[in-house]
Parts: sequence; structure tokens; C-alpha cells
Amino acid sequence: MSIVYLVPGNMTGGPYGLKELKRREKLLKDWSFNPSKVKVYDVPNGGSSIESSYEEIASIIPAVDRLSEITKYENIDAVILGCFGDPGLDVFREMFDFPIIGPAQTSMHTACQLGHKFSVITIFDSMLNMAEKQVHEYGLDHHLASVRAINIPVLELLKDLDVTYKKMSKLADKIVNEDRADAILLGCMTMSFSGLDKKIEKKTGIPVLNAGRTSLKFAESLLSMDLSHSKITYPFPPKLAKTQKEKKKRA
Amino acid sequence: MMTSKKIKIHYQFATAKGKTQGGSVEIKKRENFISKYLGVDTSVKLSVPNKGPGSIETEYDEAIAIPNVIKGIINAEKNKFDVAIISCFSDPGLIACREKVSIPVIGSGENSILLAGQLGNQISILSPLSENKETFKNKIMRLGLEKKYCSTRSINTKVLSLAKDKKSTLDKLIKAGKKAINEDGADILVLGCMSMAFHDITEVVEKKLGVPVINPVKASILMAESLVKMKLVHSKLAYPTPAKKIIY
Repeated sequence: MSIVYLVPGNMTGGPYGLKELKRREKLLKDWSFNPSKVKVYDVPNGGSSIESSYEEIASIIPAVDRLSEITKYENIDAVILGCFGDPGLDVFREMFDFPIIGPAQTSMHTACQLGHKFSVITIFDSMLNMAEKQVHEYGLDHHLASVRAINIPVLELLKDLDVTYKKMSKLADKIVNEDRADAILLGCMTMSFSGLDKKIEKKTGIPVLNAGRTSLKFAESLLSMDLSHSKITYPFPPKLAKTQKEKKKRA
Repeated sequence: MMTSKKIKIHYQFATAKGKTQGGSVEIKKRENFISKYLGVDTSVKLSVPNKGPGSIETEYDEAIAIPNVIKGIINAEKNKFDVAIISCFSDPGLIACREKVSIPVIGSGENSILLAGQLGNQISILSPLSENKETFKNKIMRLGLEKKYCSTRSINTKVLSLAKDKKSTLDKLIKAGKKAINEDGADILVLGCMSMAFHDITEVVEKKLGVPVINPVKASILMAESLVKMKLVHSKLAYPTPAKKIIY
């Protein structure tokens, strides 16, 4: 069994670097039932962070190609997309048979079992509608209390954790008191890996979902149940299947 | 590293299964089935009420069962269980229990529908009786998942008889599942009854039909372990603790 956490961008070459990639791998292993099987990869020809729809779309094909490459030497059982935008979730599910986990989809569905309405903390105001659109797509509109932005760039979230914590906890207060949410989602993987989730939970008294940890547990659950996504919903692209078949024939 | 702390799951039956014909055998079967899916550091204790209906097939049955469920789960918290599961697809007393206790309470139905919503877009539930349609529809509406709900297909068999006959239950499930897929457009199926789930035929149905089939028992056990590992409990803003009052 191996669970791959795929950062859909170039973390190693970016400001966070290999050290951060390894730190995330260590955290995921700590949370796992089977630590030796968890591996983190990134996409060397990808961007450094995803903060717009454009960057999200741009990340998808390089990430799919990277995963295809990894499948050649890694026996993969499940993949977690390492971005809260779940970039290309449907695309990945069409292309691969093993479970593909979107951190947003999973933590939103988990939140529905912990409260009636959740709020998402995203990065920028310019991304509010992206998060709202996700909720619509997942059909969970009734469960959304609000989306609020922390307005710190992804690549600066871990620079000064005190500043990030202060801004986050201010938002959390508003989310509880003004938006009447009863659960909070950290809507960015860097936020989720910041280690601030339980601190905010303690302060607000409502569940705070760490999207990384939730995804890992969901991946493990799917593997234990031997379940994957429905291939009726996510069929392998027919044209691609045809060309692949012809290629094989010729070879 | 693996934590050495054991996760203790309280598995709450909603029915007085032990009083039904062949009940003790059925309980033993269920215990064995559950233990197959437990993680290495998890233990489970079954709690079976002495009173109440032998099966739950209507909202009326649910109403009779709820006080026993609540009692069992309050006890689970007192006895230091980490998490509780209500073993009935109708989730009898789920909300009341969440209000009353501060350990996570998982509804077998709610949990499997939310799981299905992540693996497909058109959920069909396979139910014992056609009467279940209305109850399930209500549940979907409460969950706000109408967009992803496709249909409920019944196998027209009473819960207590389907628990007894594995072969015929399997045949009927495959037939109903085919209809759900071909006529209703389902792309994912959920077994809408614990007695179906405990037959341990989920994989067979899945293989025959080619779509994922959710087994509510397995799904609930894994969610229980996940919540405890994540140290997450339901929100007390959503499920506020009831004030202490005299019950006349």
C-alpha cells in the first residue's frame, strides 16, 4: 500500500524548498496508520503556488503527466491532490483507477458530519468565489456559512506563524460570531500544514478541519474498504483509449 | 510512529436484536464482521438494547428505538469510549445524541451517503422495503444532498427475513442495483440497511455491477477511527448541550 501526496507545483524549487516537502511528509507519516507507505512528490515543471483559477488550470496537465511518470516506478494505491482547490480532481479520476482524493471535497463532506454549516478560510479576497464555486459543484450549498480570506500569500503563510495565527484567529471569531458557522475549514494546504488548526479549535471551541490530515485519513479509509471513485462518473477518455489501443497494436 | 493508545468504539444497536429469532447468532456474526475491519489499535464493544423493535422499517419504529439508543450512547461516554456508532441506516437519535454527549457520534446512514457523494454524482440507495423511500428522501433533504440523489430501489424484503437469507438477498440486490444503474442513472450505490451490510456480500455486488457499493458498517468503523485520530468531535454550536431540566 502506498499513498502519494502530490503537490501540484514546484515546491522543491520554490522558496519553501525540499525542507518543507520533507516536513509535510513527516507530518503525514505521523498521522498515518502505516507511516512507511506515505510519500510526498511535487511537480518540477509546475508553478510555485496556486492563487487563481488560471494557476489552478495551468497546474493540472503537468501534474497528471508527473503522476503518470510516478506510476512507472511506484506502486500507487491512492493519491491526495496537495492543493485545496482540488485542481483537476475530475481529470485525475478519469485518467487513473486508484482513488484520487481532493482535500476540499473530503474536508467539506467531513464537516457536514460535525456541524450544520462550515466556513472556509481562503488566501485572497480574489479567491472567495473559487471556494464558493467548489461548494456548489460538490452540491453542499446548504452547508456553507461563509468564505473569508486571510490575505497572506501562500508563500508567506509560514514566514511568521504569530502573524498568521493572529489573522486566522480574528477571522475565526468573525466566522463564529457573524457568519454563524459551526465548523471551520483551513482552505489551503499550507494553512493546513501550519500546525495552527488545534490552536484555533481551542480558541473558538468549534471543530477546525486540517485538510491534509482529513485527506490522509480518507485515503486510508478508502483503501481499507477497497473502494474507488465510480468509473461511470469518471470514464477514461474514449478518444485517448482508442489512440492508446492503436499505438499498442502497431507496437 | 504508531500510537499505543487504543481507540475504543462503542457500537450501538438500535434494535433489540438479541430477542429476535436467531438473534444471538446474528449478533455474533456482526461482531466477527466488524472485527475484520478494525485497525490494529482499535477495539469495539457492541451494545444491544433489551427493549424495542427487532427491526427498524418506519419512522414509528425509529421513535420507539431512539430512547434506547440515547441511553446506550450516554453510557458509552460515561464508560470512556472514544467514539460511538449508531448501527441503523436511519440514524435514529443521531442529532439528540450529538447534543447530549461530547464524544463523536456517527450515523451509519449519514456517513455512507456523504462518502458516496465523494465517489460518484448520482447516489442510489438499496432499501429493504419500498416504504423506506420516504424516510431516505427526508434524510437526503436534511443533508442538503438533493442534487446528488438519484433514487431508492427496494428489494421488497423484510429486514428480519433478509438477514436470514444471504443468497436470495444477494440476487435481489444485484437485480435492484441493475435497475438503479440502467433505469435511474445511478453511478454509485449504498446498502441502505445494516442487515444487508453484515452479509458481507458488498464486493460481490460491486464486481457484478461495476460501480462502487458503499457498505455502511465498514464506512462507519473507518470514520470512527479517523475522527478519533484527528481528534475531531461534532461542533457544539451545531449540537448545543441541552439544559438540565426536570423531566415530568
